[in-house]
Amino acid sequence: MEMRDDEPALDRLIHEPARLAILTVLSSVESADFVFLQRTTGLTKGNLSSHLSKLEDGGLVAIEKTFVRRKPNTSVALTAEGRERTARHWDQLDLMRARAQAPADDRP
Amino acid sequence: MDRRQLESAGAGYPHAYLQGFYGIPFGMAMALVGLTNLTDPPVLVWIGIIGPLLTVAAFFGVARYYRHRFGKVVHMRSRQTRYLAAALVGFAVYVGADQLGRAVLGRPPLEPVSTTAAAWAVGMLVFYAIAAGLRAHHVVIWVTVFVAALLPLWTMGADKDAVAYFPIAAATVVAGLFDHRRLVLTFRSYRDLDFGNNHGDA
Repeated sequence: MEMRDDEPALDRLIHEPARLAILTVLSSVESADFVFLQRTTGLTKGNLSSHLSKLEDGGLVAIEKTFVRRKPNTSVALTAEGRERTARHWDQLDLMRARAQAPADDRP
Repeated sequence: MDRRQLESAGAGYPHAYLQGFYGIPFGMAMALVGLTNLTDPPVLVWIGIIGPLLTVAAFFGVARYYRHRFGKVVHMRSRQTRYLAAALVGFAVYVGADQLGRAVLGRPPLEPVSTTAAAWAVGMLVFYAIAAGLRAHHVVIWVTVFVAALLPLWTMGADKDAVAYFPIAAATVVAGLFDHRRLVLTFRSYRDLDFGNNHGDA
């Protein structure tokens, strides 16, 4: 099937719900630590870690690991590319939602 | 998935607002200010050494609790600026309202009212309104302090201003407890989002 130029295209790396949740939380802050992301997304340590690795590999987040009073601390921030792609992804989702809700006659 | 709810998870986690247990050390500090300003203050070792030490210990204890329980966030510069502006404007309103009250009622006020408590209540309402939005409990608690400050109960002579800090301290702690409850409920609501705990293989 041929895709039209104005068809919304979804970013596969971002579209996974847990990853989209992580990126959206990060888009509203400068950086957040692992515990905060766990609390806001409800993901287990292992799953959050796995998703963060994928996002880091994709260049969407920067992860900084430090020791605070001898305890490991993981701080995560969106990269410029991650911020831009997350915003674009939400725009695409909003566009798709608007089209789906529009009456059939108004659809392109 | 709700974009706004997720964004508010980060942006709505201010350092000195919903982390309401900070109201405990701040309330203790207010009580110390009141004790220090009494004409016959308690033993110096209490207000000069033990009180401040307990307040600082409470502050770091609360900071440690929030860091472990809810994690840590560095806010966008715009939001940091907003909190700073809220604190500065709130304090300016307090000073301005207090001075206005004294200009009208005399220095010290001749009427048995407390300009200090009334002005502080107005300043706190302004702070909350700018920092993150007024909640019902802020209005109830600080309007109660404001009204109490204007009732003819304050007949303590020279200690009137000092005593005003005790209801301010109590209101700060109570407002903080309500803020903390709201924080807990907010975080509890994130559990319902359910993003699935798959391993992100997609």
